[in-house]
Amino acid sequence: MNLALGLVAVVVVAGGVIATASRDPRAAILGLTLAGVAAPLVADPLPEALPLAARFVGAILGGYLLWVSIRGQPSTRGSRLGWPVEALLAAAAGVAGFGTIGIVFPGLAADVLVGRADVVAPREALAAGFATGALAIGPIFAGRDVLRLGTGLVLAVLAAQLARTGLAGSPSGLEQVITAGLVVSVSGIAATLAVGAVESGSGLEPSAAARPAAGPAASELPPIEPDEDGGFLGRFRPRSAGRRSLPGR
Amino acid sequence: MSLLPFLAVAFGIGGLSLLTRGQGRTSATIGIAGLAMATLAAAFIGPDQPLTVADGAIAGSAFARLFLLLGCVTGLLLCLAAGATTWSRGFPGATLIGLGGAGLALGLVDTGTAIAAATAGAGAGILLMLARPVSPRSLVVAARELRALVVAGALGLAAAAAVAGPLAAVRLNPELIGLAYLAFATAVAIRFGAIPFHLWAARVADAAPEIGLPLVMAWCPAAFATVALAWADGAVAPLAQPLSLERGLVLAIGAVTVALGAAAAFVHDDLEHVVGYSIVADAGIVILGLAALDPAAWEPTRTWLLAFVAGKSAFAGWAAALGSTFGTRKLSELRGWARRSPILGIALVAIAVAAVGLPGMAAFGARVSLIDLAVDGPLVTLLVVAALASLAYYGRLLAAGLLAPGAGPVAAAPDAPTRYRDPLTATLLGDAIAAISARRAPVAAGAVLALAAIALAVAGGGLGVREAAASLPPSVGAPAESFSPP
Repeated sequence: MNLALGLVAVVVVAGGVIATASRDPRAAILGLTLAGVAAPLVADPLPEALPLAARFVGAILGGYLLWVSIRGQPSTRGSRLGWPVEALLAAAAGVAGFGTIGIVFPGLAADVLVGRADVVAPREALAAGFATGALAIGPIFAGRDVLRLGTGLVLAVLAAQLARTGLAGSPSGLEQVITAGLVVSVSGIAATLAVGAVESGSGLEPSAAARPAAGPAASELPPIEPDEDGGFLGRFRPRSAGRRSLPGR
Repeated sequence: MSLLPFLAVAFGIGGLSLLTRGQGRTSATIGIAGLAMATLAAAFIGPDQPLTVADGAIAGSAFARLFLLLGCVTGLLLCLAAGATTWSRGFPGATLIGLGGAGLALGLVDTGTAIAAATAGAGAGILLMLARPVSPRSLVVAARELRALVVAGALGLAAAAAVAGPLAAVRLNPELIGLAYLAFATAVAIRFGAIPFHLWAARVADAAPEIGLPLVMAWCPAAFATVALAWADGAVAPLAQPLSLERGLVLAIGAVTVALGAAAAFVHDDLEHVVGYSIVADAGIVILGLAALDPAAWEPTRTWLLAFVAGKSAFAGWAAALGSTFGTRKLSELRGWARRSPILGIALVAIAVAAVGLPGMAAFGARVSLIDLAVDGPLVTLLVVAALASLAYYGRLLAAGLLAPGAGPVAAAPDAPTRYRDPLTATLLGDAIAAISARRAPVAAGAVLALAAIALAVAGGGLGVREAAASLPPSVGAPAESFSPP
């Protein structure tokens, strides 16, 4: 086991625990950014300077987009289990991940012990990937709060990338750059959702007040109003007085 | 190398168009100009040696060329149809970014990198659901779509890493090969909204504009599926594991999706849902291609993918034009639509022929081949019949159009289009815009007819579909097009 890699992996997981457990949105975003900055460092060999810089910029930009979007929001839902439970869950998953290499590649662990083989990929990355993935499950599948959902999704991306590093070795520089783009993309969309939720007056939790599945009949809908910004050619306005359009169009 | 100009245009101008989304006309003009430039750039993509960039490699291929060219041209035609009917803010920019992500995914040699690119690019489609004013309902749907997108991407990344690593060939646990294959196939099913992952897809049809449905539900998932197919063919099939249980599960997802997707499209009254479920049903054939896990499925699956994206774009454009022309999207209120708008009627016939196919057409042959490779015995006949059931919902749409118009929106439609001339747009470009504005319904119908013609050509095997589908994915140390179809 590489102690330095192990410490960086602990930092990643700690960032993930803060991101998922904190009720203060700023603390959650800081935790997420910390995890995003540390995640590419759990690799052997380390990424080159430019791809690493791209990952740093991606993590910080993603965090900044989320930070801007939740301006004025006092709290997020946070974890109902509390940070100790999240930390224990992550620790258990991390231990499982550390040992997984023996299941994925049977015989390899024994060969490594007797010096017949080297582990080609860092097991610390697999451990951090499992731990981060375990932390992401709650926000993704039970996160009605869009910030919490976004946090979970970014953690899922980091977990997948860490697991990839742990199974197949360090990603190429190009993959690091594209992963940075993916983190920004997911954070940006989550930030757009958060802005939309705040603007719609539902805080960070948009309610699922459902529109009827098949849509209302044309006769039940209000008249079309001219489009505010006009779009390309302005909104189409049906020429007969009795016609209607669906809402949200 | 030939892919780079396309990527530069797609990401550069697409990003600019999305950043100016708040200024409707500016964003639309930038986006449409970008789509036109991307069309030109896509035309020059060709099979070439991989270019090494930061330890990764990227190359053009005949498949990437045709896929992206079709994407840009159909994007432009959908813009024209939308401009003449119901504009969707950010559509050209989102299309460019989505196609850029698809182009990157199709050009990258490494599977993991390609998955990340396909996932990142597809995110742009979600922005189409967030047109202002944003409703809580559309926020919930967009959040679900984002969740499905990232979960599928993470599954694909983990699966690809497990099987593609340096130790996979000699030491990988055979049972994990099946698990990885199942995870990646499930990721593709999630992206397409295949049954049982269809509930969020049905809601997407509610929240996204009709012209945005192909991008969200067909183009971006198709690029992801192409990456999955290349991975299954290149990394899983050579390991020669039987994977009976896993293949059976994937096959079940594909078969149920084909049958129930068509049934759902038949029973729904809302045009958006008919389009949404028809996309889901046809995506079932792609999943059958993954279930076959046979190199022989390579060409038919990619042929079907090309016919699928072109056909569904035309169908979505048709639905948008019809809904806006008559002011309703409920089929029960659209009796006689084909009598009042015969161009849209002809377009629907062409779209149906492209989707259902005739013996001898490339798409028809591809579908039969995939079913034949995936299952044996009487199941072949059952699945072929289920796949041809799409004829039922196309027939229902057409039958409604041929009835005498009742006392509804169709009967109330004017015989001649309204003409107007906006003095503020009296420039050369303004004249063109004014001309489109004055004859909106015929312009939209014409754009849909052009989309239908493209769909028909692709389904028939024209435009170089067979050669593109048979070409190999780019790989380091080998030319991208070394494969000769049998």
